[in-house]
Parts: sequence; structure tokens; C-alpha cells
Amino acid sequence: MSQDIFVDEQKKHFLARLQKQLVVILLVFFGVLMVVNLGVLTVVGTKGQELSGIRSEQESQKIKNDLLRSRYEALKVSSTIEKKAKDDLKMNQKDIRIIDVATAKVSAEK
Amino acid sequence: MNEFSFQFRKMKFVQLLLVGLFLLVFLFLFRWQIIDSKKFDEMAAERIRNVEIPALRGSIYSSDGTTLAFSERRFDIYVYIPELERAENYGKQSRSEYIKKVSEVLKMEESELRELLDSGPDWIKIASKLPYGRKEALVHLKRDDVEEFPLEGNFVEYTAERIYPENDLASHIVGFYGYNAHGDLEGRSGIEAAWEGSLKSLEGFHQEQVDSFGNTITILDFTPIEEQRGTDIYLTVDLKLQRIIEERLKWAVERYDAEAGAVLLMDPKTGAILALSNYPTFNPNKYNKIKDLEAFSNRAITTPYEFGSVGKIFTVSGAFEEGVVEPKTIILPEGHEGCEFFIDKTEDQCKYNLANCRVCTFDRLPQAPMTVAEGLIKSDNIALYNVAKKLEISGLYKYLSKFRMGEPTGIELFESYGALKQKEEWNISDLVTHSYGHGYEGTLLQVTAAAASVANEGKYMKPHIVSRIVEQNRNIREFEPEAIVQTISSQTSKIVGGILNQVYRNNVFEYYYKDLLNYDIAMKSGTALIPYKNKAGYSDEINTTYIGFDLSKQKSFILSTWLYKPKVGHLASHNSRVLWLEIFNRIKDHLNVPRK
Repeated sequence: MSQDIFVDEQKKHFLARLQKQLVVILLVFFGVLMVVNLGVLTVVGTKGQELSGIRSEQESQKIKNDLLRSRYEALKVSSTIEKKAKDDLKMNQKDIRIIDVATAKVSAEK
Repeated sequence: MNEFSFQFRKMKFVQLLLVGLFLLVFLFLFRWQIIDSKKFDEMAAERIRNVEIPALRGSIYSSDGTTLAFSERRFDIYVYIPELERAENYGKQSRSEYIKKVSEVLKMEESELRELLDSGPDWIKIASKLPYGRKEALVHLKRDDVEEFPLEGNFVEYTAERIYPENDLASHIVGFYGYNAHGDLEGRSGIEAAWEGSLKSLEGFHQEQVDSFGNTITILDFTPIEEQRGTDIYLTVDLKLQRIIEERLKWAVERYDAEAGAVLLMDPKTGAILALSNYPTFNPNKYNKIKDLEAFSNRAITTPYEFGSVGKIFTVSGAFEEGVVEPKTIILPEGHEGCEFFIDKTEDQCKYNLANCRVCTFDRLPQAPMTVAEGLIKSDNIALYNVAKKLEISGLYKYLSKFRMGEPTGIELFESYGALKQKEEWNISDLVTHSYGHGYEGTLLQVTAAAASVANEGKYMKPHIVSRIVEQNRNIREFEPEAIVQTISSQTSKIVGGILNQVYRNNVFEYYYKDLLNYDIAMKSGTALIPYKNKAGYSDEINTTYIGFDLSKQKSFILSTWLYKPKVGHLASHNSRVLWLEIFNRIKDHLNVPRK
């Protein structure tokens, strides 16, 4: 009888220890999980956003580059140059009359 | 109940709880992995984003760097209706708020936009080829509820607009960029089509993994394709000359009531095309509004025709080169009566159609004895036939082949070319007709390039219109002039040039053009009846051609003019000649053609 009581006591003690260990293990796991989660969110999450930002900036620069190039192309056009000469330099198109040397001489003699 | 049994039950409970939990996990895993696997596969796929990086098509420039064609970045705007409805259901924005703000930016009626939004269930295109400024205004529209948040529902797609800033100037050279039969955009004519492979851009591409907010997590592990802008192309075309030629050609086509016309200006030393024009013409910016498809036709390089007496240059050149005649050889010792039989008129084939057996001059007037040089100056068909007789079929065929009749010129555009009958198939009639530039065809480019060899001491230069290309990495490729063949000797070219100079002097007789006599020019005309399309024989309609080139040491140009079916004037000297002189009068100073 006393031996049975001793075994029960031993089991009880063992179970209590196991319970404590399980709780500790669970807490450790939970802690590790939180740290890893935080780590992932902090490192990967932030970098991702940063990467997205860089990508979008890169894209927007490319578009701006394209637009500047188009503007440059449009400036190298005769109509643009003519317009600039007309509007900014106040130059007007006139018909050129070529004076024929022979005719001019005849007129002068007359 | 003792302490042990209590602990035992507790253990059992925990055991059952664990088993239950495992079963639950198993059930969920089963559901996720087996039942809902497709749904999760799709969700996973959404985490992979394909990123297409746009690039623009290459530009086309004239020789002085003026832009003839370029692409401008534009934006197509789409609405994704489910997203628009989600935003409305969450109370973020209302449909009327969206319509009011967006229609204002797009400058369209609210009712029009509302109708568009009601037209489909998913993706609806609400704006095409929007310029950057308006696209920016659209994507920066804010919601009424929280001002710093953007209006939802809009998606932007990159596109581009091809712009031809000089409109119809040099349109047949530049061509146009448009939709093909499969609905794909590509170069459809001119440089745009012939240089499609170089001009077109290469879109960049990579894949990246994104989080639920659309932020990039990582770029997936494969080599991304770098975007590449199309190659820029510089032409040999001088826009100032091009403008003059186009204006004068239009004037001539209208004045002489022609159906069409073409002009070609080339540098005989290099084969560089300085100007090339066709009329009617088109504006590549509005190519889809052109009703007359003839307007797209680049006749100068795609329409072979009988150019008539211009071909006499090749017959005489060949005869001089072979030494069978000299300029002073009296080719018609007794002159002629206006026509000469080359087949006995008593032959059966002559009984019903004399034209098959005799050669006549255009006016059928009798002529006194004449030399070869006089025959060429007077453009006498009978004299030329007698020259060809001395050359024989093999000789004439040899020189027409040397002048590359029946062969493409090799210009960097899509060209057609006239065929030359195989020597073995020739008969006496072919010798006769070919001797004065009939019976075979060539494009204006073919005949100009061939005549240019006479202008260039017998060296046939390959015609070219692209001077250099500039690749995206700034690599520059220059195209050097290419000599193809020595058609005749330098000595022969000088003799022929000298005779043709007299032709020029005879052709400048109006007081208005008398200053042009101060230039050393060689010239030859050609008038040819146009054959019927559906039956044998010739109609009354004509093609008139004039070719002339600089005889000075500079060899600065060769200019050819062609009027198709002019109704005013029945000879080239009545219309094409005037067009030639009109153009020469206006370009001579720009080309620095030396005065005598």
C-alpha cells in the first residue's frame, strides 16, 4: 500500500514537471514565433515597400525621359522653328521676286 | 475520487483535446489542400505580378536632323467595374462623384461616361492615348470622404502615339505606322515598313512576388528582359529640296491635268536619294481617313512603266562602248520617210497590222541623212533602230542588263522592278522596240539609277536613302555608298553626256528659263503610250518622263520627272520638261550647281 502511494506521488510529481516544461516550451515557441514574425515584417515587409518605391520611381523616370525626348523631337521640326521665328522673332514669310538682270537693264535704258 | 484519478482524467481530457485539435487541423488542411486548392492556386498566382516595361519606337530624321517621325508616350485609361463597385459598396466614393470628377479631366460629357461604365461587366476603356498631363490629373483625383486618398477604379496602361510632325512632307518615304490585318500595330509603308525590325522597340519584362498590398516582396529568380528603344534612322533626304519638289510636282499635276506624278532627285556620285516625291500624296497622321488608296502608292519605286525614249541613252551608250558606231557615224545615209520596215511588208504578219513590221518616228515626218548623235538629239526611233541593228540582240541585251534593267535597285525600301525579257526570247521586234526604250519597263528609280551611271563616269551606284542608324546604346552605323557595276567607260559617258547637253540646249527655249542655259546639263525626254490593261495594244494615254543631270565636275545631281496620263500636252516636252526646268530653277543654288 505504501509502495502504491509512493508510485502515485512519483507520477504526480512527474506530471507536474512535464506540465511546467510544456508551458515553458509553448511560451518559448510563441516567443520565437513572434520574433520571427516581427523580423519578417520588419525586414522583408519594409524592403518590399522600398523596392516597390524604387521600381515605381524608376518607371516614372523612364516615362519622364520619354516625354522629354518627345518634346525634344517635336522641337526639331520645321513648323516649330517657323512658328518660333514668327511669334518670338516677329519674322514674316514673304514671296521673293527674282529680278531678271536682262529685263532690268532694258527697263533702265527705257 | 482520489487525486490520481483526477489527474488521470485531466490527462485523458488533454489527450482528447489534442486529438480533436489534430483532427481539426487535418480537416482544415484537407479543405485547403484538396477541396479549395484551385482557389488558393489562383490566390497564389495573384501574388506573382508580370511587369511589362514600355519602350518607344525609333525616330526617323532627314539629313539635317529634322524629325520626320517620332513616338510620344501616351496612356490608355481603363476602369475595373468590380473595384469601382467595391469602393462604392464600402462607401468610399459614389458613382456620381466618380463620373463628375473623371469626365471633367477627360473633357467628356457625364452622360457619355455613365453610358460607357454601364456598357460592360469588367474592364472598360474610358480614354485612349491620353497625354501625360491629363493622365497625371486623372490618377491624382482625390475622394471626397478622405481627401488624401485617391479616387478608386482607374487603371493606366502604357501606349504610344506615332507622330509625323511634317505631315505629308516626304510621306511616301517615311511611310506610316498603323494596324495590319491581324489588328497589330506595325510599319505599313515606306521606311516605317521596310525598317520595321530596327525601328520597333523591345518591351522589357520581369516577374515579381507581391504582398497583399501590392508591394514588391522579391523579384523572381529569372533573367529579366531589358526594354530597348527602337533604332533611330537618318535619311539622305534633304528636306529643303523635298519641299520644293513636292510643291512643284503638285503644281504640275494640276496644271497638266495628270492622274499622278513622281519626281526623283539623286546624287549620282553616291546614289543617295536627295528627294523623292509622288502625287497624289497623304498625311501619315491621318492615314485612316484617306479614301483614294492610290495616294499611298510610291510610284517612283513601285510602279514599272515604259519610259520611252529615255531608254535611247542606254542603246547609244552600249553602241559607243562596243565601238559599233561613233557619234559622227552616219547611221541613216539616205534619211528616212518617217517609217521604216524591219520586216518585209509582204510577209503575212504585216498584212493585217503594219505596226508589227515597221518603226516610225513620233511625227512620221521624213528626215535627211543623220549621224548617231543627231539621231539621239532628235530622238529618232529609226536612227536608234539602226544603231541597235549594229549592236545586235546580244549587244543590246548585254547593255540593258548592265544598266540593271530587269533587276531591283536594292534601295532600302520595298520596291518593284520592271522585267527584261530573256535574251533567248528576243526577236527582231524586241530589238526594234527596246532600241528606243519601249517593250520593257522600269521604275522611275531604276531608270534614274541607270542614267546616273552615265552621269557618274559609268559607275552605277546603288541607290540608298538611309545614311546612318543610331542604336539605343548610341552605336552608330554609317552606310557607305556602294558601286555595283561599271556600265560604260568614263570616256563613253563623256561622249553621251556631250550629246545630251545639246538635247538640253534645245529644250530650254523659253525666255523665262534662259538663265538655265548657263549650266552644263545633259537631258533626255521620253513619251510612251500606255498599254491597255485588259487587252493588247496601246491606249491614247501617255507617260511623260524627263531625266537630266549635271555635267560639271561636281556631278551634283540627277533629276527625273514623270507625269502619268497628263491630259494637257501630248509630248513630254509639253509638260514633264516644264516640271523639270521649274524644279531645276529652284534647286540649282541650293545644290551649288556650277555655272559655266
